[in-house]
Amino acid sequence: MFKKTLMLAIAVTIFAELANGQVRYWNSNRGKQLPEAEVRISHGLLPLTYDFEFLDFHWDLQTPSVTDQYYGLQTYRGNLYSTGALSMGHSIKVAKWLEMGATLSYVGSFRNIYASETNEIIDRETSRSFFFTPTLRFAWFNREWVRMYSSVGLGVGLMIKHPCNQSNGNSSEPYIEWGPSIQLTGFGISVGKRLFWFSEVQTIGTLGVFTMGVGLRVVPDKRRWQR
Amino acid sequence: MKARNFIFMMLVAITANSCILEDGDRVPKKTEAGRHIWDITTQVISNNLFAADLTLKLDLWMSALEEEKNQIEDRFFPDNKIRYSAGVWNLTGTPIYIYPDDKSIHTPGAKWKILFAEPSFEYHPLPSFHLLIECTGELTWRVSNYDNEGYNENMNLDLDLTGRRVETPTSAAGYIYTVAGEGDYIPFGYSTTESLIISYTISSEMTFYPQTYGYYSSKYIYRPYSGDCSLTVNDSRNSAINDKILVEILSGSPTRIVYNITYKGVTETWD
Repeated sequence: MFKKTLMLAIAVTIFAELANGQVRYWNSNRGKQLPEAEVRISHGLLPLTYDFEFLDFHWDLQTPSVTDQYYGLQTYRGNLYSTGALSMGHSIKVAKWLEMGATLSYVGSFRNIYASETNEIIDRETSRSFFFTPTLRFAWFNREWVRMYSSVGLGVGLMIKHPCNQSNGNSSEPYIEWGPSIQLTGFGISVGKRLFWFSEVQTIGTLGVFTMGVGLRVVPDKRRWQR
Repeated sequence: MKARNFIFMMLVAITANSCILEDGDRVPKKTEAGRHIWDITTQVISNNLFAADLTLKLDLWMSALEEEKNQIEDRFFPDNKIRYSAGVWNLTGTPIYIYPDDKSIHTPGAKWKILFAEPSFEYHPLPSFHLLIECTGELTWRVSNYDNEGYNENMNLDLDLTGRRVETPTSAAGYIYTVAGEGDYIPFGYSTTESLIISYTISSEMTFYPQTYGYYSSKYIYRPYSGDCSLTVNDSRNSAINDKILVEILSGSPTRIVYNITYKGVTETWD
């Protein structure tokens, strides 16, 4: 499964680069202009990572042993905090309605483990996820100041998890999980020309269910390039 | 300006809340782990007292006048019939077998055995175990385990009991017990991965009263209403574990038991 996902992500990236090269080649031949490009920085809430709770769910609902309960009561877990998805993306406009690019994302979550006896922090559970998501963005409303779009992204990601075993209060070995990075955006809107604000809703995936950020759009000056 | 501040604060609040994915655990009291061990230990002591009480009630029935037997049977064994076969008494519908000797267990020197042949999970986990009950004087008995069969492999006990008859005619329990002695056990439950070894010493005599549970007064457990108990927790997988727990019962009644738990140097009151 992972190999397939990796191959797919590589294929999408190669395809994006090929398309980019074609546009560059086309532009250099015509001597007209470089494609429009943009850089985006965003923050997404509630991104999907690989630490789904249901994977840890015990269907047999076995009562924990007295030993586990005893050690479990000597510690307690604090709130689970998340950084959300901190993303940076780059894209180029290959057609009036199509942008291609890729996004790098980081999602961190952590929670403190406290000793019941002293209420002091004795350990910390952390997970750090990194995603590389090649993205296609379809602009279905294109004006000078406002653009509306939908997008789809597919790539790969990894999560470095550092859990804490509450039954004995000791840290467990960190481990790494690989998997796909998928992002589907139903509605996105950007407002602005060179410097723009954007927001995406109706989304699900590794970038979050609600994303907001700013971007910088580089639109080549036609007159300059035609001179 | 006020509207802008309001929007800013709302944004901050929403963002801050959104970053908490999951609330933390309830903060346990400092002595909660010690209290948990005490709860389990009272169950173990209660199981043994319940077994002893069945034996003594059977003897009361056997020693009763013929015209009183039905009344005693209805009170003490309302859910079962008492059957005798090949020197063993059985409460029908239960895996409980009582082996009397030729003397009443209310007679000094008498030794009876009781066997719980199968585990039960009706109220709290009750393992299969074997007990020896020896009458040491007037209304005093010693309870101990006599072999390593069943759960006895994981349990040792040596308790001295002093009994006082339960006068309430609606209660199926036979006696209120004042207990002294010591024991140790590996917890019994649904899990097979227990590594704790819990030792207890009843330093100041504890009085255990029967409390009914469920809808019928025929089912009861024993709960301590007074006395002190010290416990030690060891772990067969971690020799560094040697936790001390001290329990002091401040007051007890059918509705409320107040007690102090001292665990790792901290004393807290529970009820």
